[in-house]
Amino acid sequence: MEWRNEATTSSGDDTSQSLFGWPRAEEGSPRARIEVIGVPSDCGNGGASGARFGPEAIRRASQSFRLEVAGVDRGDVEGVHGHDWAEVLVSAQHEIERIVEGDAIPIVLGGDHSISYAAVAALRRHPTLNIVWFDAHTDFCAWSGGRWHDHKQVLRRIAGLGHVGRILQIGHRGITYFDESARSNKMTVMSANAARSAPLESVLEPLPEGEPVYISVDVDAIDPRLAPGTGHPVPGGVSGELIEQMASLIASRRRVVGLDVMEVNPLLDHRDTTSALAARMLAAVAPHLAPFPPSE
Amino acid sequence: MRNPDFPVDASVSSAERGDPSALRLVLSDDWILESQDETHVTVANTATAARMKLSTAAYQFLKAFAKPRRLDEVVSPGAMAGARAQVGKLLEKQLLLDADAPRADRALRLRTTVPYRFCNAPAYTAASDFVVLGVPYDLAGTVDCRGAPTAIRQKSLDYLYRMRITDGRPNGWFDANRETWILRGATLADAGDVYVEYGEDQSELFGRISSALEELGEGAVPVVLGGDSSVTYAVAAALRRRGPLTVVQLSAEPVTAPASASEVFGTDEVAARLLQLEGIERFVSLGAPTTSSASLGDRVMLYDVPTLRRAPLDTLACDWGGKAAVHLSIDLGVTKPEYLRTDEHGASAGLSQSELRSIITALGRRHRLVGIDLVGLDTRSGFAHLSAAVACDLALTAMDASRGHDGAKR
Repeated sequence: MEWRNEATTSSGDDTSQSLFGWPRAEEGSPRARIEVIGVPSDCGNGGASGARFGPEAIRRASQSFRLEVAGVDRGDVEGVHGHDWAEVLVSAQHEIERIVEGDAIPIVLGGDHSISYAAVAALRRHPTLNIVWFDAHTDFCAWSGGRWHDHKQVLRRIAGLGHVGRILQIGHRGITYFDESARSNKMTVMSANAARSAPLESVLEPLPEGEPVYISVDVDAIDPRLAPGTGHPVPGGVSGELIEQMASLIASRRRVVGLDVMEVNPLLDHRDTTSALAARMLAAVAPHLAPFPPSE
Repeated sequence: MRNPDFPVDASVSSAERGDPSALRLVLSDDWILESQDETHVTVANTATAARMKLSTAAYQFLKAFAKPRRLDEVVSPGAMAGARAQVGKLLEKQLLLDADAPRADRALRLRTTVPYRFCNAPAYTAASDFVVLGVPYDLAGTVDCRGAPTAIRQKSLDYLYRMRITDGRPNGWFDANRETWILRGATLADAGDVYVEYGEDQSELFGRISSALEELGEGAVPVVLGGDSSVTYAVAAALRRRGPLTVVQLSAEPVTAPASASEVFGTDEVAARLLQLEGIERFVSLGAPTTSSASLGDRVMLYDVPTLRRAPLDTLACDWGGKAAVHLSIDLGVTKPEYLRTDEHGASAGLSQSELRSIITALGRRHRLVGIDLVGLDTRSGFAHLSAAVACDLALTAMDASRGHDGAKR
């Protein structure tokens, strides 16, 4: 699987836009502190199709932001639509590993949330990696242990990775089958209600200083009236602004070694409000990533 | 105008038909051959949804009545006894008819099966605590919501109805917002949709809704998936026969226009029309963004959003007494973005999801919720999938509220 470098194409359409107008990466070109990769896949979402257009929509929405921090956009992982899901996961993991091996911080654009597994697996160089998981759901459904998983099972599989330490889940709500907050000893659940009322700094408490953090944002953590473009909306979510503030705080106080935004579904969006919120959140957090070295 | 909650005539039983050998029999115009293999066929009556699996020989026998015939014209005297039994079943299913009896001028079918059941609960066959009934009717207003029952049911598959492995009783759900279990042990069934024949008189449909609710019995709390808000009228008109009834509607756009002189009424007249019915004590509308100037007398009570935010609903509910029998109608127009968008202070013009849930829970604490409907989901809206998610959340919240504040079954 190779990088697909849209900068080498001359189509000039929206798909050739890069995140924040960052330069496109050529094979062998200089690396940057932050490197973007898109995984335009719906394979892990059995309920609603359309998240595969998420990377394109987020990049398009990001054009209104110009950041001081440097980054490059490596385009999308190729072959997503021509391979089985298990192969796509492995390929995405390899692509993200290439970013990590270059001491860059990956920003992964989804795609459905199951992709986040590939990113966390690619960061296994960190002996203890803590996870911050913004999501309306805990994504802890039963997983049979095969080579692939769906977006409802992804955090359960991630929790089983040896290098994963603590998990802070933020935004859980709604009517569910069981008390999902008690599914793992590693996991602390901050419900949407709790997130709204708790002091902002409380998100730092479960994340020991000095330990690296991966932040994953499923846009369905945001209330669907604000972010309607997602496949499994749950009423009563938090604001996009709160996620921005929490993620920015974590990125400024902890060493964030990777970040993703998942489940933006432009087919269900209204006037691109959801992709705009996703781009805005990335624009708020990205400047906080640079001060910390990506590896020790 | 025909009484809108007049029950539809039940079909004539086979016992009332007398000896079938004395009749001229004919195949129903509504029969179809649904499937066929080497040994059997399945035939169905599309008007009643009745089905029968027949042997190939029995099928040939049935086809012999394509034109009106007496039984003795088709079978030999020695086979008459067996044929009578077979004909009795075919008459029961209305696959065969008395050729000389007056024909019904409309379908007798009350309910239809649906592609998805609410929360994948079992199809209604016997008494349960809650029975879901769809009414895909939207000809009283301008909102396209005939597809809403299907949309809500499809979304409800995110909330599957499951049984506890330990005792086989309904597991209920965990309400992560309140960190508590809801509807534990509560049984749920889906009775499908009321049959709607678009173009028929409105009163015919309302009569069928009444008959369907009567058929489902008084023990269950009906959870009706509309349809437009005229469905609220038909449901409340049926439920008032069980005792004095207060209709509470959660709506951003109160349906409080004066009653017109027309036989067919629009969605905006629901309150006025309901108050013309004996047994409807009051109509309470909660959740309009601003105070309405509508004046329909002291039996209509309007609480707008600022009022609800100033005074807890428990206080407001005192105005209309305690432990009233309440039919709760939720107009899903409350999910429109213009009502939910927040200002710079974080306040929305309409009720938030959390406020809606709080009001429903408070209603259940103070009153008896005897019926629930969800109406007005605009399936053409770009937000239909969100409205369906809200509908499922509020339906389960209302069902739980109907069991009282302690979660005990009524």
